[in-house]
Amino acid sequence: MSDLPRRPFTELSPPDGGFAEARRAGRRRRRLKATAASTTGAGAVAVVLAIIGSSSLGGQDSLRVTGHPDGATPAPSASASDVPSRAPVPGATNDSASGQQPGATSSPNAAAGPEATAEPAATTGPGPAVDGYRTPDLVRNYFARPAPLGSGTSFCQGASSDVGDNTHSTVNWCHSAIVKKTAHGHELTDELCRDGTSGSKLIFSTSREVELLVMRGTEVVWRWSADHPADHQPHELVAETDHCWQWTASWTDVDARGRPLPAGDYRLRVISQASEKQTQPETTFTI
Amino acid sequence: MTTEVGALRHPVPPPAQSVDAPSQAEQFEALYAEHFGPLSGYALAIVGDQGAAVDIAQEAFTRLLARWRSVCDPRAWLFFVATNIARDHWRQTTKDRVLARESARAIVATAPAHDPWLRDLVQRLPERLREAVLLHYYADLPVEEVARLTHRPVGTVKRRLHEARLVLAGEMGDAR
Repeated sequence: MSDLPRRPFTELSPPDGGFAEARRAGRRRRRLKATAASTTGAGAVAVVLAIIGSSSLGGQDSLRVTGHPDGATPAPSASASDVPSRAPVPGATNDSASGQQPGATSSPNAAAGPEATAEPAATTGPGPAVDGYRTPDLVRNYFARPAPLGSGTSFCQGASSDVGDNTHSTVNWCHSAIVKKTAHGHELTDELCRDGTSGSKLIFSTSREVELLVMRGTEVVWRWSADHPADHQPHELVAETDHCWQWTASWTDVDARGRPLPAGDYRLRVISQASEKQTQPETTFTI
Repeated sequence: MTTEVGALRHPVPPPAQSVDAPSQAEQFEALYAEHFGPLSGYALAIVGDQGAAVDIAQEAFTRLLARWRSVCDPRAWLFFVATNIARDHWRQTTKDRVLARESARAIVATAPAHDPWLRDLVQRLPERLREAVLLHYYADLPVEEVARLTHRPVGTVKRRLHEARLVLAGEMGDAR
């Protein structure tokens, strides 16, 4: 807008010792957040959320669950003790003796999302394979944001074709589909990173947190959830600034029935179950 | 240590990197030297008070260091943070003026006021349009960056800038 009035800004000098003071104060705040987060007990996650929320400008967003994607009947609820209890300390060193684990809090009053994520139907269908094949368990990681594991597609601007007037934007999240070749097939990964100026949390109404689909053209040839029905298990995962949640399946290049797939081009599509209006990033790979 | 949680296993996360490595400290120092002046000038244009402008710029840098690892574009982030701190300062000083007026007290200025031309301009706008105008037209951030920082779609930011143009064109036309 060239017709807006514009005057040069009068630049001011920093105060004496200003840089040192900013540095000291910044470190102090970082330590304060780390100290608060290391508090033991059920209040730890609440303390971290309170500090992040009070010190941030953007406040907290929540990615709300969309509901079960394919309408499968949930299995009987898992025990509440299965849900991890606390987020790791920001800036903490790797300390397996601490017993700290990626954090989740149970949320019995979490509201279900207003709409389900649309997905293509799997042509191979859910249920165990004829030869007893079962899709593998997921490995879930929580860590400070590193370089990507491998080639992948990232939606860091939160662009979604159906955002419209939706104010629950996902612009502060980077959602990636990542495939890494292994000796026995491929590692399929859904990665959700928080890159905003404030911490946040992922809210789920079931035990299922992600869905991984392997597709050839428009056909879904493998679906992770085929052998992992979702339980009614509301819970939340804390996501601090510059930290990532990652869900990885070790896949052996087979279809839903455990049969080896032919060589060719495939796509991994990942879907977060903590998303209201959610991108579904994809990445291509070759078997 | 791993734990079976239904269908999930949770390896311990890798150690966090220290933000105090010399190269990062030098980066922060260079950033401070380069951007303190423009940032404080921007804040001064909004709040009209030199002391407050310096405080705002200092606070923005303090917050940046507290979140160093998570910030993708430090300059954009600094201006975004400064805009929000200035807005809060703005609201507080407005409240103070209202209170003083109500109690019939005079406000004693602690420093010569700087011409708050930018504040006066954006005060003509509804609050929801001010942030986009300040960040895009005066902090020189691209629309996409403004969208990312303000948690809004790009289309919404563009719509707000367009609306702001119409409002200001109307206001300035009336003033002539």
